[in-house]
Amino acid sequence: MGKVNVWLLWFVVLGLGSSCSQSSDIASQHVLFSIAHQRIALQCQLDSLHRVARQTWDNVADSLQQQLPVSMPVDERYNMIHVRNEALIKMFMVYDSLPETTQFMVEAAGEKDSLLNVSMRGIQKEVMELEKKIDSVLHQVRLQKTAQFESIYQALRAIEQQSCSSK
Amino acid sequence: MKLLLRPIRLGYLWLVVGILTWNSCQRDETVIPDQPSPTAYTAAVPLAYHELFLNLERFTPGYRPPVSARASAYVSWIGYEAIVAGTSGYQSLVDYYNVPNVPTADPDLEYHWPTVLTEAYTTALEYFFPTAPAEHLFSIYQTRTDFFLDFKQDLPQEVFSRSSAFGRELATAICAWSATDEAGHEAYLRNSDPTYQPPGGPGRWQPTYPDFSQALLPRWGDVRTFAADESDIVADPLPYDETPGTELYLQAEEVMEKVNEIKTGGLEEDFWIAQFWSDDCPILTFTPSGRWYAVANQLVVRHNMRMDEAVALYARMGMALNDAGVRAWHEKYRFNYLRPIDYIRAVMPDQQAWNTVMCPDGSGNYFTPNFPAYPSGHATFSAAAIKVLEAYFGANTGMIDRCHEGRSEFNGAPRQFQTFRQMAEENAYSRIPLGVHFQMDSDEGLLLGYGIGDKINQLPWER
Repeated sequence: MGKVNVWLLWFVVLGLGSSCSQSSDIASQHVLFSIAHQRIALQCQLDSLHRVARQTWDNVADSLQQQLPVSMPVDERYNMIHVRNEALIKMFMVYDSLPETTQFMVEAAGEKDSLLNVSMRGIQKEVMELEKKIDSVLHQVRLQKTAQFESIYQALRAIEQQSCSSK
Repeated sequence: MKLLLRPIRLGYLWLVVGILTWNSCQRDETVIPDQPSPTAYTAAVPLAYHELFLNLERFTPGYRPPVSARASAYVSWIGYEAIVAGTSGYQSLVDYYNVPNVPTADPDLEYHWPTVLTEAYTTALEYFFPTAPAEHLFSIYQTRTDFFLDFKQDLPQEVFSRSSAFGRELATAICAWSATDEAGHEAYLRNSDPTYQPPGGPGRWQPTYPDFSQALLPRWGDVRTFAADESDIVADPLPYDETPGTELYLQAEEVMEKVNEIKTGGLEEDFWIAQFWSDDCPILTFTPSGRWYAVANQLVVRHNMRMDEAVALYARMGMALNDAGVRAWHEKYRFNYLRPIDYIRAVMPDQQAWNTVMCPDGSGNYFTPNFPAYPSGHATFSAAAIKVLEAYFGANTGMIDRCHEGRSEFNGAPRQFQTFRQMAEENAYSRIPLGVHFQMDSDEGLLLGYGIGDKINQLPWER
């Protein structure tokens, strides 16, 4: 009976250790992957805002292309179209002679760009907060020396490699 | 006997269980490998961020030359401090400047220096360009993302995490210290000072034709320097004199004649030189201080510099440019000396409509920088910068400057120089055929800059 008890105790201890580790792995894995996906989603938002900014200034460039006087020197025209910034576009002397609709478009684009800047900064801040959370959870997993650490880390990196289009 | 053995066996069992339990909860013993020093890496990270810097200072409004120089000094120095602990030859300047709350790298732990540097530069650029156009702000973030995805492939998680945190915290501390320099902090928002009134009077600077813009950064001389001080001054300028044959008259005549000849198609090389070094026109190129980063970028590539060498070069360059800007602007507003355009129009016969050849806008207008002439900022920046280059590459080294290669708006064809000093001298001279400076502005600017560059080189960079 005593022999049975000893071996029973032995298996219980091993089992407890193992199940504790596995459940801990699973919980950590779940948290990590969830955060990693949130991070990717934010990265996609950043990409999206970048596309909005690009499109906004592409539209301004198209308008300038149509409205700038044909007599304007080619190089100066090129620079004004490609500078893609309200304050800098306004530095060109020809700006005051542009139609009001074009001037309004430039000003609206400038305001939009400033808002996009603020939004991008906010998102990047969130991205970095999530990165800190990921680091913190990974740190805990590593401290517990779970057998799954390396596979979790590899899976996490695979998520990080995802592009927005693959989501 | 059996009664005696059973407790022993049970005790042994508990010992095993205890060891197993303890072991499973114990943290990994960190094994410090022989970590690669910054010398082991290429200059890819510093080069990428300094190329980004040039786009940011060019396309973000408000980054006129001294403002850009100040931003570059902090950004580049932050990079230097980020990796200095991993180098064998360099030392930190944080204590030298009494910068508070700067974290130090733990010598017993491993860091991945490219990761530290990436995060430090990202934090710094984001801080110093808060008004960057959205597309350029995105470039900062994207550069970080691209580098980090690459670095993570081969890095243990804890090394990556520790490295990025260290770079971020260090950059944040130095950025916070930069904000205590009230005269320079956020100066991109206030290039002019509505309360400033130019002193006026014969020979004094005033807003110039055709835009009559307000004085640029009239109190920039109060900005923090890294090595230069109030002893970095220029000699008194020539006394104002309208009499033909006097030294000032002759210098003005030289400017006038060169510009007039250029306008009739002559002096081709002088015009090339004038355009090649101008960097005056916002939007068109980087600033005259940024120019020296463009030069440094070419040298980093050409000399295949390692990460630590490039980072140290950029840090010295940034400080030299910052101090050159501060002292040149201090002296400009100490003397408030007029620009050639005002002298020539007022004094030279039949030249009331005379103008420079700077930044043609297509409508027949040309411009003059909106601040006093003496000493030349271009000359001061370039002299300080080449002193740094000489310290790295030697006084007898030269280069082909290709930083405007391919430009069609002006003659940016590469120019070859036997020495860096030739570059500074030609840059200083270029202001005369452009029509915006007297010879004395260029000469004294060079002397001022050389002295500042020497002081930057004498800072305790090396162990």
